[in-house]
Amino acid sequence: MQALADAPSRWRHGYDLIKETGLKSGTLYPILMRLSDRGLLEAQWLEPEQLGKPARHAYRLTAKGLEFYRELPTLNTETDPIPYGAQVQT
Amino acid sequence: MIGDMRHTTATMLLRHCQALAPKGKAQWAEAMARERDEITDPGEALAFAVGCLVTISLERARTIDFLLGEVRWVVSGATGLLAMFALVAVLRMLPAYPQAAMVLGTIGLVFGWCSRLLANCKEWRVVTIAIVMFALSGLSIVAMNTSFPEPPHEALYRALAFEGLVLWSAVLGASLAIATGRLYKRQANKSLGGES
Repeated sequence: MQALADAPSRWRHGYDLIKETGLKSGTLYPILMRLSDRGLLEAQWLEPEQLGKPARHAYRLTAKGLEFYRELPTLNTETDPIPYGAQVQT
Repeated sequence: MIGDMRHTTATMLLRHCQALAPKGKAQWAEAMARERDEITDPGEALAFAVGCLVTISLERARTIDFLLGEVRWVVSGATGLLAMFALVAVLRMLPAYPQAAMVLGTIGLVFGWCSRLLANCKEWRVVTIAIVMFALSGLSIVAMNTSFPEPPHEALYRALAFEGLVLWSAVLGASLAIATGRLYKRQANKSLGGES
């Protein structure tokens, strides 16, 4: 969620999020799906800048999602357990 | 060569994802397939595809529409068939064994009733009926083994009771599976804030 909340107005693609967060596709997509089901994430097909390529699904947090993210307690990487599959940037 | 194979396998797996995706998640499977086009490294593409396949398979299992729908109709059809067989047997038995034919007729009607209830998604009622019928079959066997006067054609009643134990335990198991599956689905939808 942090990756999405850093630039809330920017549309992000699944593979970009995988590269940025280090999550596997099997971890990232269920999270995106749950967020979308709960109305915390919006998704849309974005036409690529390069001609001839198909449209890609892009995601960003909704206002409700951003509010939800801001209400989340901050993760202390030194004491809190790290969610499975997540990489901590030091 | 190996790289090409990994790319091909990834594409194939993502095609499976699209075929496997439940109705509400079809666009996610499509999105995954399009993301794969952006991945140039074959190993990464394959790992991505495997993860997507696991995700979609779990989504498919979570919605369990395929299981609920098909099992419900199979069990409803099977109980309907049992009802028909019982009623045909009643017609054949009636002249020689009128009392046994009446018992079998009643059982046939109960099977028919269960078939209708299952078709109308009322599995919990079928569970109750199956428990009662299972208990009745068991009690009949106990009664025949105790000091009760032996009914005429005892072997026939005993066979019916044993058959009842087997058939009603099967109906009970299947109805319980469908009913708990539907309950699980409702709770899952509710917890995700969707329709119950």
